[in-house]
Amino acid sequence: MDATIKQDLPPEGGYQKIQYARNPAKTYFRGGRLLAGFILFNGCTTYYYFNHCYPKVLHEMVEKNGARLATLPLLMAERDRAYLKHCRAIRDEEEKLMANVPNWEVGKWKGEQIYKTLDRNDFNDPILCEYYVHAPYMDFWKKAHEAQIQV
Amino acid sequence: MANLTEPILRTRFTDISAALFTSQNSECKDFELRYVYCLEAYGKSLGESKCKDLKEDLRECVFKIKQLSRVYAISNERSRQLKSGELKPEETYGPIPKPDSY
Repeated sequence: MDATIKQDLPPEGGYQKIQYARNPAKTYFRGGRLLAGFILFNGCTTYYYFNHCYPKVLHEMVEKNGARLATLPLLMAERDRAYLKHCRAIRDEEEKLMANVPNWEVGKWKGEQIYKTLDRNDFNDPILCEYYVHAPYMDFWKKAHEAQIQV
Repeated sequence: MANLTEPILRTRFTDISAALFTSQNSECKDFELRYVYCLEAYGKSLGESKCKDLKEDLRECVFKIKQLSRVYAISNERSRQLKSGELKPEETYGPIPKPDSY
């Protein structure tokens, strides 16, 4: 049997020295270079965005606006036609409805015009209530509250 | 109560808030202008009788009294006719406006 017994001894040469000195992290660049890098990076991306990407966005915007302006007269004319036709239809319907009511003159209230000092034959724009007078109440309500209802 | 159309003392402080009590920013500006010119021409006491129509037109523009009463009357007449049977059920509503045409 061997005479050497295994002992738990320190390694050869002893342990290393204990580190107690400060060991800060390695700094690659400090304040000045950081700022310069920031400015350089932002400058490059700004240049790229405004000279390459934004013109495409602008082109699409211009095209869309041009289309809107081109179709605007058609839509406005259509709307005006529908408005005037409906005003006429309301007046005819009122004439039909109130045919048997005593002392009712179409377009007047109690024998006198609505606006006394205006010319008799001038067109008087109806108010919202009047525009929807022969329609279901909910249509009027929805139009009156359309700012809140927006889908 | 006195017939007040302007403040008792006209100072700079009363003129500051003069722009609040006006209809010049609404659809009734022409009505108001005509009434006020008439009042200025005739004065307050004579203006009461001469500018009556203009005053009532301004009131009508601001409050829409006659137009609303007309709407009410027509609407009531319609429901009365429906109930009594003069209008058939298919005719409950008259011409319905297209959306967004007002």
